[in-house]
Amino acid sequence: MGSKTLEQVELSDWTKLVTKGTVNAASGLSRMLGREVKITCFNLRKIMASEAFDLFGGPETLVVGIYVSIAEGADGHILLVYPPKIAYGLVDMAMDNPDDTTTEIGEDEESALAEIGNIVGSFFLNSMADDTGIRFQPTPPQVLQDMAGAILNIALTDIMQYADDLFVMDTTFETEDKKISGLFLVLPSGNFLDIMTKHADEYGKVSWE
Amino acid sequence: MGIEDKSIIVNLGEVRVSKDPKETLTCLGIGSCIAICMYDMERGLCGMAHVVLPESNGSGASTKYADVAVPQLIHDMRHRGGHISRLTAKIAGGAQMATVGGGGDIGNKNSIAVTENLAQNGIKIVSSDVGGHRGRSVTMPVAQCGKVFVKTIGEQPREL
Repeated sequence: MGSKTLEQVELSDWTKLVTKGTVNAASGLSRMLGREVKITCFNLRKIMASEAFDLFGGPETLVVGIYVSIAEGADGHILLVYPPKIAYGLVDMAMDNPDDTTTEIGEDEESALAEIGNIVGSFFLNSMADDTGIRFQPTPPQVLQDMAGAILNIALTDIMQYADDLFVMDTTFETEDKKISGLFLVLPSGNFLDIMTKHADEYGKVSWE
Repeated sequence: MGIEDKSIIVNLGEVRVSKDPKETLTCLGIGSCIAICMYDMERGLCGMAHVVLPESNGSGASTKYADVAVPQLIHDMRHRGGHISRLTAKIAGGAQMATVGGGGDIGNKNSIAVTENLAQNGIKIVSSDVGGHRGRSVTMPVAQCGKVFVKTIGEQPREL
């Protein structure tokens, strides 16, 4: 039997899983920043891979991506994607800068974004590990500034071996005084979904609550 | 492009052929993918394939795979009047966007697969811009059959 597609895994379970993972990621970010950060996920939807670029204003649009690959436990990709101005806001949030301080992504800014990717990726995967008993290991994060199409290519080439569509959801990072909106893409590969389904089959429904 | 010119976007896994001089075949924001640009100058015929993955391994006939896209592009070019002896190719893309994570350098695998499949079908590659770590946009104006332009972020398009 071939690998599972996301469609074959219950969407509601996947939504709960991702939501729980991002809540855990928010707690990690709160610890890192020393103040409360909320991550809200909404509007989970299926889109054709070829339409994914439209989310960013087209494949040629310059975006900032924070990319974490799942290196152990299963294959998959975590991608946070922002227009540059929004990414600058995220840097200001991470570095506790006044608004509009950051105007470009240099070494320090890249490091701040990478740390966000590191915390979000680790805490997200830890949440899934808690639910499944499987240890997922993220790679070090990579910060990229390039065309949206080229950045999405990283995950799409993997996903498109199994399916021609993918699921995305909108996210908002929120502190007491700032709100940063962007796209949080968790792109599971076939074997990741196999593991999740097997777990649900063997142990009953995964307790995402 | 002139005001009446039309950009034909060649999406992931698509193959497009055109003889309309008002059209420009375009692959936007490609990373590890490869844009295969094929032409028959005598016929003013241009074709472009947007290859995503190297090998289909019998998993289907999708032109997202190099080993399916190359024969399909050649077939479509010949169907529109191109002659196999005149078909010529330029290729661009195959970047390694992520230096972390598994899966290897898919961009390099794509480049190798496209090059091999074109060679197996007797198509000569006269120019290429592959590898590196940057995304590219590739355009092929039918009115200038044989010319291919590559653009990266922050740079002007350059002829391939």
